[in-house]
Amino acid sequence: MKERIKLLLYLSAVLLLTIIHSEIFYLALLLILIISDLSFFRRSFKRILFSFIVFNVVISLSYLLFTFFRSDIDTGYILLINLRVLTITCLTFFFASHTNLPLALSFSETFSYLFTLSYSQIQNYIRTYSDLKEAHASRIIVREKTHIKILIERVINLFFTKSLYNAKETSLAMRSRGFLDG
Amino acid sequence: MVEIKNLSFGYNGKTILRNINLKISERERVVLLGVNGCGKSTLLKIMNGLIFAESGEFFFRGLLINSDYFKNPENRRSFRSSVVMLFQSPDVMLFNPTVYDEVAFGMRQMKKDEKEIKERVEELLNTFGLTKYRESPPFELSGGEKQKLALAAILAIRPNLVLLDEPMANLDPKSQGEVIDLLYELDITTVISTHNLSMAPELGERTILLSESHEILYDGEINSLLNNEELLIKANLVHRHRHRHKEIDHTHYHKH
Repeated sequence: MKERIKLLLYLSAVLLLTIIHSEIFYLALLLILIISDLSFFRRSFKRILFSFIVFNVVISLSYLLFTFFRSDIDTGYILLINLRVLTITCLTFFFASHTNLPLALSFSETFSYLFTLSYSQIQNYIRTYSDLKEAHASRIIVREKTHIKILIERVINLFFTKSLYNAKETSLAMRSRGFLDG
Repeated sequence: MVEIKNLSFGYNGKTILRNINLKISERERVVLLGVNGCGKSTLLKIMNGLIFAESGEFFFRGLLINSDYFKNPENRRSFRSSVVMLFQSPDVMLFNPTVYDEVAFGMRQMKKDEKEIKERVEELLNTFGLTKYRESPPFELSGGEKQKLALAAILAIRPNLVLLDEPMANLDPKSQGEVIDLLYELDITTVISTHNLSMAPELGERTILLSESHEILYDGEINSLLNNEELLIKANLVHRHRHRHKEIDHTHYHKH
């Protein structure tokens, strides 16, 4: 029950954050979050920053480009959406690390299964990618630019065939255990 | 050839290897034994210069191998052409368009003569029974064939130290026998990890046993270990289960 309440609070907070338009509010919330678990945010700093940048650079640049041609750049608005996304990203990382997600989603069998399947697939791919990188490094005697291309091609190829194979196997395994039979 | 001193390694706050000390001489055949998760693969990766110890040192032929060592391209070339590793999953090792290219990959990097490359590749494909797949893409092969191909690919460059992580895991009994024979004929240093006690004596004379607490429990002659039931129980390499001999139904430790 506790985990479900956390999920409800998280979803409500995200909803609230999308309707509030105050930079001070976001800054204050960010500060409270960070102070509440300083060691977690220190450990997760790189991951949070990466997630934030990947999303926000695209959004901010698109906005800047669009408004540049209309000659009405609103820097305050750019600051606001960046702070909003940063706060939501921090909150999401904080929530995910402090919540037992399968338990939080246990109110719905479908969500619960979906989460478990996705999570195990993610772990599987992370492990495969790490092995692939190490095996590649192990076999490279002389570094050449073409080797990066070879690695990228191999990652795409392996992940594509692995995804297809895994999807078939997973659906067969689920059918074997009584799912997907209507 | 290999010397490891007071080496420890951890990941995400978990200890994987604890205070490892060992020496391996030229042409020694070492079997790394231990249950899943005891740190065998990690130790092999350290010996392959893929990851580096948090504390302690790893020396190869007297040279300290750490991240600084690999900053020099000549060091990398020298180490990578001497020390090779077969990963548990052959899929991650194969990235060339054809079986032939896969085996030739290492020698091409070493700028070997095309004629020499062709001879060596043909010889290995023949030894491993892969000649008929010469022009096939590696990912079309079966699990056992991929394992043999990956092994052929790393042996092609005539390395001095071969590290093999559970090499029998994907092989059927016939292929296991073939690979054992082949490894036996290799006159080079091998370190082979396995959790299979019945296979261990076939893979080497000396064994290093890792415990579930990630330390070396035993380092010595393999048959002495196999007769030491107390140690095998401690390492969780033997297990009790019920079975029947005609009318008698009883429980005792098994090595399989």
